[in-house]
Amino acid sequence: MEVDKGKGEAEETRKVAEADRDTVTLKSSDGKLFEVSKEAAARLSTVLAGMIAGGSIDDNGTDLKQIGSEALENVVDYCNKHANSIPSAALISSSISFNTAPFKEPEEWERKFVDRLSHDALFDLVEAANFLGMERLLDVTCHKISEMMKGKSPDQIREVFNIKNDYTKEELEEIRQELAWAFYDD
Amino acid sequence: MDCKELSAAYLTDDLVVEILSRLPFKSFSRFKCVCKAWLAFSSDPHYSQKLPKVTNGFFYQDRHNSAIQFVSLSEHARGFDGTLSFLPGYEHLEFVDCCNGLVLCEYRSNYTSRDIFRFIVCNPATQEWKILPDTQRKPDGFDYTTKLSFDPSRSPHSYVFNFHNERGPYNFTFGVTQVEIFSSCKSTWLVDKTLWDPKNNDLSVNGRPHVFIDGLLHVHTDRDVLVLDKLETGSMGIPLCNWTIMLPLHKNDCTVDHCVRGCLGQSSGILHYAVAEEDGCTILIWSHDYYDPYMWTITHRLNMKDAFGRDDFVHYEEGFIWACDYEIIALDLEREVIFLFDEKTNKLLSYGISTGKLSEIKDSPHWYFHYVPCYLKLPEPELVYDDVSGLFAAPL
Repeated sequence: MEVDKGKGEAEETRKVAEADRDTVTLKSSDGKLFEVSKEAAARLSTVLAGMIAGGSIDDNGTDLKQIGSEALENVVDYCNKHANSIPSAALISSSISFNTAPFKEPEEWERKFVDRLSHDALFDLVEAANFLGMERLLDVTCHKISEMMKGKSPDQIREVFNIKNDYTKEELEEIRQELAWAFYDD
Repeated sequence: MDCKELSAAYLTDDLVVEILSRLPFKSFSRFKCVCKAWLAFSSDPHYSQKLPKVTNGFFYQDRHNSAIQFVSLSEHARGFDGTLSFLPGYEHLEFVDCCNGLVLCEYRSNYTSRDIFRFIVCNPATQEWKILPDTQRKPDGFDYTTKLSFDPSRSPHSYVFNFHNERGPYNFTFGVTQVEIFSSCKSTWLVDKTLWDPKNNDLSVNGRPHVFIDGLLHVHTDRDVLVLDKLETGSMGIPLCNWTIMLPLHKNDCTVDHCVRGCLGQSSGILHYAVAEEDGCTILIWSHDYYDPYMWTITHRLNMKDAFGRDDFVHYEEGFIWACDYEIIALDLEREVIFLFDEKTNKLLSYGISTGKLSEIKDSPHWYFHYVPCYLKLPEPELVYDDVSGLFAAPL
């Protein structure tokens, strides 16, 4: 019995090695290729996990037309860093439900990872994480942006988010008066 | 810079809401000024549950543990600091009272001097706070009951009443002999013997909820409801106008009876009183008609026997002191809810008046304070004329 079992496992391992490599190649909208650990990609991205399971991964580079090369590089970088870091209990539990579970503070390396990004890179990464169904990365990037927003004025926020002020002067005055308390330091 | 054009401007609403939902309530509120779409998120049913909001709930504190905590009545209270950690020295605070959105805390005596009271008033929704000037604590023989009075529909100013209950031998309480009043308008304490009407000397003000309606402070005493009027003049040293309202089940010996174990509340500016019947199986809610000082009308009869599924609520301590398993701790008649604490199971419960159902809010014994948010900014004190400098200045 024991011999049979050992034989079965060995066969299975060989099969896996034959059918798949342990990385997948992703192609950005501007045609650049990136390689990422298959295990990390499947674990961190629901979309990539689905593509891997459904066999729609292209060995010559799976097209991700919605994601630019800079954002994709960051995604891949995040996945690889994640694969190398020891997943903590906090991280595992935070991935259960993104919307309702309380947010677990970013780990030290995640903090460093987002801290070095420019505003634009960060916004692009939020989009990419959202597109790829990467809950934890979305969580960490949204958290970083919200950290940046604290203590800023509505004017500064409009500038960062590139939003046009569509209030009339009177409307703005009225709403500002209602929210006067919110304009004193955080 | 081209990149910037492309970046945030095309973030979908879902993503913007993901980001906004992580902000503290105060920043989130401020950013409603950014554009109309951001303002509209709060009223969008799809998004509003996710976004920061301050909700109704209960503050509570374990007397042996320094942390103030908060239990929300909504699952979606995000961005709200219920531990009051925005206050200086918040670890040393004791929760004292809560009134229409403002909170009163006191610094513990091991943090300040033993001879003084140091209170702080804050608005947890707007995270504003103000430390009150210190006031003296008498050497011994006194208990204090402190009440915060704030009615944003009437004035942005608040009052703090510190009732001095004199204690006799064997800890027997003589009743209130003096009251100190702090007004946020004058920003000073007024301690004057004449403020307190001597005819009320044998009344004890208890720690049960008080109600502030139309500028009148209604405090629950050991017998009746004491009403204090003209608070504005009281803070200028003119004796407080006062009278009592007899409770609906008033009896002369009711200090040991069930008729004083009820809870005051208000609905649409009308005083209400909820109290359990003698067997505890029904809670009666009465409303008070102001133009007829003895007129109480029953508005609700709530069947506790069905709600709890039992009828053995009452026992008599020492053979004659009425005690009921549950205590009514707050009324929210506008939302048709009353809140009970079940001493048998140590649970904070809400009872839906229209549904007749109980639901559990928290399962630990504490002193709970019902909180309803208010977003009014704390007012500045009035400027006072300084004789020496000949200038108007803010009081200290």
